[in-house]
Amino acid sequence: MVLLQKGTMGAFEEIYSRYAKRLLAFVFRMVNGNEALAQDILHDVFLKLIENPKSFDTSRSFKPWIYQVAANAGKKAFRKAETEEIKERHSTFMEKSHQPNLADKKIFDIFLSSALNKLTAEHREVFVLKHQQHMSIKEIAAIVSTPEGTVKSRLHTATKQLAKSLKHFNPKETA
Amino acid sequence: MRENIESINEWAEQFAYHELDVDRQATVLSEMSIDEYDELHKTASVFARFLQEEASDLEPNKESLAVLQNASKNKKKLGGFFAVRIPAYQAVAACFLVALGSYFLFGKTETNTVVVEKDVPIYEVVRDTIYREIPVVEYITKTVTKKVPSIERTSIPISTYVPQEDYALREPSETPSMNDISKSFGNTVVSAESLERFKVKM
Repeated sequence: MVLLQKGTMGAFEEIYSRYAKRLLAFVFRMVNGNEALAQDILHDVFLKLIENPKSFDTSRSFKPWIYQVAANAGKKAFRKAETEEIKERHSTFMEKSHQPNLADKKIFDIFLSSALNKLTAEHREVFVLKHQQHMSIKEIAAIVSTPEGTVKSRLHTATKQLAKSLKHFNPKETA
Repeated sequence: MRENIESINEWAEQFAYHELDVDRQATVLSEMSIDEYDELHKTASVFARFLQEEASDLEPNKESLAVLQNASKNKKKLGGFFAVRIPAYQAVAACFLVALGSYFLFGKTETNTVVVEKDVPIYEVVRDTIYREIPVVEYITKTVTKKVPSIERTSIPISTYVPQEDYALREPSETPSMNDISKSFGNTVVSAESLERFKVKM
């Protein structure tokens, strides 16, 4: 990041190759599976990085910072436009879930996605950072700017809510 | 109790109940049943698998990367000199030096400065009521009577004729009679006919 601030050639490409895919997956889940929106947010995050690299304090760790920027952008965009597409997908799932062929993996994935979408943004954020991005509680706490205890509490609540959803679906038969 | 729950949650992410050691199993049982723990473990592992698969399917947009790379290159091109940031005092000092240099280079031409002092009247409009006295002219008719002195009449001796030597031979002219002389106020006029006869005879 220091190299990027100095304008060193290739610094941006290095950062992009390290973080773009992971950030996209995180943002994708933060905006409830809207890929187009997630791609836009990812683009904006990196564009902001190019245009104003000085906004990053080099005395801090880069990883929590970039995730924080992405998470905030994701939350903001999602609040702004909870798209019809997502609602549509959810309703489609609800119709399909009542069909007998529940073993279909795609449908199960849609169910899981829907269950994640039902979580609040704060709970979903910590759950995804933990189980998708494999971050430690300390790292998550730095990203969401809350104490570690709060992160653990949110994680537990999120897991219990998801477990409840999963119980209704009866995953023992499908997974 | 809260610490236990947090620890159990962390264990559930990685281990099934039967994979825990005896102490941890005891801790779990103090808070929840084995089924509840396994449910947590199952949930964590199912969703973790789902999230991993989802992440692996996603690829950042290549067009977006190209756009970002262009933006990065353009930023570097436009950057350079203009991207250099200097403290404010340095900028102020630079401006001052440029101004000073300009003065010594171009500002030394002597110019006669003529100070023109000019009194500029300042008119102050004072609104007031002015009374003007207009003199009244009175015309007095006065009759003045003046005595005109009477004119004295002078008699002209016309009857006396002294003949001159040269005219001795000549027939004495006939003097105009008194009838021929018309008299008016202040004037004695001889009639033109009498005067002509008189001239001929002379």
